[in-house]
Amino acid sequence: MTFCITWCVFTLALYVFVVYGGFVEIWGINNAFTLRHYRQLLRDGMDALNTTLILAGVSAPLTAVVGILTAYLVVRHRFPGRGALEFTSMLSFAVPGTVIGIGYILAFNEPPLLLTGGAAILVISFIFRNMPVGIRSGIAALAQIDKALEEASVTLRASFAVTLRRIVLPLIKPAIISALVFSFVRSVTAISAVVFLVSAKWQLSTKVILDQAENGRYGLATSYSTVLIVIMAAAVALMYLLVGKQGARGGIQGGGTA
Amino acid sequence: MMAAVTSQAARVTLEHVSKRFGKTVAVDDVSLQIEPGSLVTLLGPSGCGKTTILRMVAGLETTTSGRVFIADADVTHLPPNARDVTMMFQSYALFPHLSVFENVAYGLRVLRRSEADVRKAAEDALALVGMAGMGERPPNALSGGQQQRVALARSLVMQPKVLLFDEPLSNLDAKLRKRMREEIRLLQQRLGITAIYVTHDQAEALAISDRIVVIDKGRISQTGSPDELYRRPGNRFVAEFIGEANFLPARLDAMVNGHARITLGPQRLEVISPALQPGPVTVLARPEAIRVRSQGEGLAGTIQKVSYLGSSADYTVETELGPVLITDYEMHGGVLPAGTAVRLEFLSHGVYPLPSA
Repeated sequence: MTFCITWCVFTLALYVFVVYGGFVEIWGINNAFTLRHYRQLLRDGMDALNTTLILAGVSAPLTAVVGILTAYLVVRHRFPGRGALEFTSMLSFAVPGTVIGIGYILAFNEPPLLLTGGAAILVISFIFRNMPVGIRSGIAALAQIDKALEEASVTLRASFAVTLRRIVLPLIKPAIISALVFSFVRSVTAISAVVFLVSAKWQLSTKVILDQAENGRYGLATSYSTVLIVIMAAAVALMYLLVGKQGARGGIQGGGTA
Repeated sequence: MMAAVTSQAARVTLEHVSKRFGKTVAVDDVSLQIEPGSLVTLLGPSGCGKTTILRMVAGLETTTSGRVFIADADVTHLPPNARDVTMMFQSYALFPHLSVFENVAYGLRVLRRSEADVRKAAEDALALVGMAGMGERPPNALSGGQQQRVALARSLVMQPKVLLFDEPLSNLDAKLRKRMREEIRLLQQRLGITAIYVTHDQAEALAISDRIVVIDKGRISQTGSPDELYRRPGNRFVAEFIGEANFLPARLDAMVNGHARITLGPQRLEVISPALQPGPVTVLARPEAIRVRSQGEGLAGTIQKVSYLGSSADYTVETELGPVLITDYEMHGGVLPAGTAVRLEFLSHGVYPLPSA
């Protein structure tokens, strides 16, 4: 109980100070209320925020598709190298983001794979960095679906594609939604891998926050953070709403892993 | 009366079909012909390969070698959705996110039939299995027996060339199992569907089959009508797997017109027999074809164990030929207690010499 309260206090304090920092002149020195930082944010920070949301929005569905398909292969098919595929797909979770970032720069810095400085390299890094989320929730959901359901569908004249669309996907919808939202959230908040990959044209919010904090503009950094927190909270809430609705509609097997 | 649900019964032929998983041989050179409109059971212990054979007919497993024909067309390399075969699963495999009606309508919708056709056919099929008016329910609101009925309707509505059953009743309790197998058999006969039915339950196989194929370690051990397999098993495995069996040493004295004269203990019998050389033989003696008497002639023995089962009593009698299991349906003079000295009389219709091997 004491532990619980302590935990809550620390967690809440974090958020309170982040929000507070965005509304004062100079954090800890001049505590007068101001909207200056938010005005500056609206003027200068919107480009990076838009870029972040667009890139995260593009990579989230791709991550979910790649992840769920990989999960399907791993769960439903026996093939040589299956274990290796599952292992390497989890590897991008284990490797530090900075290592991945530098690795991407080295790998994609020369033609014909000249991707450094562009948007594609960011999307690719998001996908591979977050794929384990999709794979894990996909595996958990698919493992709970009786293989006989797919076999029944196929013997009822459905093709593989129809079976996937009408039987498998509806049953693992909660897992898909959670994979979508989590990879979106992780993309928006990613910093370690992308800090090396951003460019002037493709700047991300997290990098902007880092830069502002480094320059001592904590007000701007925290106001930016507050905006991100609100967006993320909305995204997570939306997910719970969608998944919750699924669950309530009557005992669907294969719930998502949250 | 259910004109919408008819069948297009087809012959199924397997030619030297084998299936290997890695180094394991699951099915070993199986050849089989199943006549249109008949119900054939693949019977065997778990792991004998019977389900793999069924899945190869469905196209859910590929064959390692050999060919599969449905309605005289080679379907060996066709995918399951091009074979016109439907399957009943042990787990029912109803789609949990679709209503009962949509489950039954699923295959028709895949074929893009008109809404009116789908509605009529699915409702007829549900009525056929006694589930009319339950269409709007979700499958998980139904009992096991009802779910199996829906699965049956979902299969029948496709008017398949062959209907496959993979141990469909093993998740039901004993009473319901018995009722469902009778209903399945009645429907199958009424619609004239070709059916292949996999089970490990010999009583189920005897009750519903036109023919039974006994499978042992991936090979066909014997094929025949239920009566043939029960009365004239080709080997010890079949004799033991179907019904209860005593195996006793006897002497074959002579073969006369396809009958064997044998000496079993002190008793001389003339029984139906495969062609065998005179000499020592092992005979199958069915427990219900042995009379127990407390006096008189016959093989002498002592009752070791008695189980009273209501309509019958099971005795284990120790004799000079070894222990003999007897099922007594008559119980003249009540149930004899353990320790009673008795005489056994073998009835010729329940004794069958087994080919040595």
